[in-house]
Amino acid sequence: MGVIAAIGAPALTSCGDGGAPAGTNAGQAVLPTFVKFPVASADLPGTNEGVTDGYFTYPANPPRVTTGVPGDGKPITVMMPAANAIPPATDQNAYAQELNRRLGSELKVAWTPSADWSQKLATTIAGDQLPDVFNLQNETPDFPAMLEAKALDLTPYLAGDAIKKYPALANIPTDSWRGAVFNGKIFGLPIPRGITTSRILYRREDILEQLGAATVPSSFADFLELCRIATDPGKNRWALAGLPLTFIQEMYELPNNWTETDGNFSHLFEHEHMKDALESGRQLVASKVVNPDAFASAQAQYKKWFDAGTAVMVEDSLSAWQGFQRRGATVPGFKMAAHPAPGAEGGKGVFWLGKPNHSITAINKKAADRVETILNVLNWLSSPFGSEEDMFRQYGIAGTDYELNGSDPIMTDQGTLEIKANPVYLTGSPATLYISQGEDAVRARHEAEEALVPLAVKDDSNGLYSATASRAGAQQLKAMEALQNDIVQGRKAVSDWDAGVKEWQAKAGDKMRLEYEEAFMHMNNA
Amino acid sequence: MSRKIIDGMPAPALGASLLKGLILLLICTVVIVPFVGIISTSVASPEQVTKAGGFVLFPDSIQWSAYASVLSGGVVTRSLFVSAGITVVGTLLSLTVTSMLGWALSRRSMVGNKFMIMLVLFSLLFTPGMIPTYLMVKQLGMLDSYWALIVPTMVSGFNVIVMRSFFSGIPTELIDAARIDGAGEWQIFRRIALPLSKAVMAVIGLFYAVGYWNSFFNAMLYLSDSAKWPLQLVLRTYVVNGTQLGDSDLGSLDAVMPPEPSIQMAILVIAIVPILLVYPFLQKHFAKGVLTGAVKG
Repeated sequence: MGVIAAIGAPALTSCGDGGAPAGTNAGQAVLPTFVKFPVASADLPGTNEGVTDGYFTYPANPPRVTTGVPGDGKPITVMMPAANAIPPATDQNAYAQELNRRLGSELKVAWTPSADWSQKLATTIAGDQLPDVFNLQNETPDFPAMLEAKALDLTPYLAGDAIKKYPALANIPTDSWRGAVFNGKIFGLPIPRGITTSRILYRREDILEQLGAATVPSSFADFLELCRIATDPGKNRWALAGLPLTFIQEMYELPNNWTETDGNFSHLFEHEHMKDALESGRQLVASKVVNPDAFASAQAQYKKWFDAGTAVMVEDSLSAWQGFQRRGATVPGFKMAAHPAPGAEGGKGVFWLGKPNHSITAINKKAADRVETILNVLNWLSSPFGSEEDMFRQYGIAGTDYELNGSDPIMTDQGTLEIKANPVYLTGSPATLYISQGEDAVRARHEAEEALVPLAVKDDSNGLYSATASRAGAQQLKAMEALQNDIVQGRKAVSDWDAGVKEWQAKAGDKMRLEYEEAFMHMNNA
Repeated sequence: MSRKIIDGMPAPALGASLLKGLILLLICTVVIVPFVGIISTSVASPEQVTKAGGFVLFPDSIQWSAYASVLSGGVVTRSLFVSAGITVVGTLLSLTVTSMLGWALSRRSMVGNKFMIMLVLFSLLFTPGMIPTYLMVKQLGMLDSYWALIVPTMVSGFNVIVMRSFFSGIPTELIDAARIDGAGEWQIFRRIALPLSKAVMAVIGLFYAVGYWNSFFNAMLYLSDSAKWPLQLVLRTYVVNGTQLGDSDLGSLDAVMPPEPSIQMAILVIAIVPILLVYPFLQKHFAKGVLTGAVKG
């Protein structure tokens, strides 16, 4: 019962995903074997380096890729952040009822507003009330110790070839699994995001074309000039919604957070050109090409300015593409594009890859007797794009939650409400690029990805654990961001950066460096 | 030119009156504009909201689609009933317990009176932390129960002190007279003290009601079943999740998108209006009730 098999999928081939050698604080032996699970061939194929598979339409007649029912008839309790507004309760939600039926076990989900997640998790752990399955973010303090105490060691079930029993989980890239390994054990299942968490600079191409300024800048000076042309306060229009600091740092080819050379780690803050990037940021603000309310507003507001054309460019994650495109459909002539950062003095910049995972999902130690059932359910939920399971999970019941236009699902009002019950922070298949009825948008984003990925720079601390980073990293980062803001807004001089870096090194940076170097050495020796 | 005398004071000059009027008008505008904006955005068309950058002051047309969307699916409607129930039951229980405690503490003859007052004051200065309170709620078996939204916040030390101050101001002659007529402590409380304390009860009741209505944090901590969530916690997922997560965390989930501003504003209106409707009925008690604690000790 509940045995999963790959049906209708091409032969399962074991291969690497082009990543670095295995192991977090673990040995290579512990990582699951990567077995690609292709269901539908992409219209625009991705690459091992990170370009996402692009699809113009949802594959017609998606095949079922699992057999039997994964659940054991008993409810599975789950705790995770709510990605959106909460769904209607199960008794009023046809999608949730059908999901439970297909899984063969009722998913009893305790949703929590994402802003309150850390408090909910802390109290739930303290009260020993953790459910069978729970989401965990990397920022959780003393992560490995907490996992050792509360989470089930999944190594015997998932390490090496053992994962082949769960073909959809084996389809998750090795880079993502690194984020689920602590103290040499697999403590969770990654929620993979591929390169979609990376930040890019979006442009309103329609507005730039109207201004006759649709050229791609080839240096920082060019970019500044473009921003000046695009800004017209009289028309309530600024070139930039917020200061695109990542884009500027990419122009100066700065490291993506931590960088490793011969086992030695150094941080972006310490880089010689960091001050040049800050000076460039200061120049953009001083030139009044950034929305004057930018520093008092959040990313959600930036999106609205971009949608409205009040901002011509905005820095956001790659996965925001779909949202911009969808909302842009109501704006006549809306056209959007993105391009890699040019070198500050000409030539090419770099592209910072985002974290490969959103978070991980752990299984409660107390649920050890049901681990295989739970893994079967999670495997079902990770079914790849183009499968019947994925189509149901993402779009619900045909005729109720969506109607087909060709082979593309178009959500109904009921579907839009009910689909919020999709347990998105439980697990998932690798990221794909598909926008319903949006072939042009898929082409545009794929093209942007093809230009960006060859310039990709990884954060070398990804998959490594630093206790100091988990305890004090976020707080010290906030202090540095405050200093950055003071500098770019002209309240402090660029030269003040050096003192800030020394303080950061003393309070957290140096310890983090040592811990990462140690973890890196341990990983390579394992 | 002699100025008119009002209440023994010369009436202010026309210029000064105009200036004051203008300043008051400006302050009122600053207060009212966000409300108007919330209501206008909630009924504006999605195209206009997008064009205006998410905030509309004067809608081109009135559309109720945001309200229809918010009220469909039953989540908001259900939570509205939960909030109303928690607010009514909680406020009644809070008023009962607070008035009884306030009355007891106002009786100087009560054994341990000062110690009890110190305990109440202590609760104002030192509040228990989040985790100890959670553990207590768990020990009491109230996790995932509506009682978890009422019991931990049922008594506010501040309101007890206000109530005690009011009861202390009731003339002792009145109480002595009742006692001579054969009334016991309970009868004095019910028949003498409570009827005299309508104003302070109205105000404290309002404080409690607003507290229960606006509370989301306890529900977030103690309730795992989202079908039991009160309106404010549902509202939080609409408004805060939209801004915190945006669509940056949604990966390839094309179908799940943050709510539009008009939907966020519609649910804000739904959350504000019921409690706002209570104010006019209590307004006449407000000044008197609020001053009770301020001038009597």
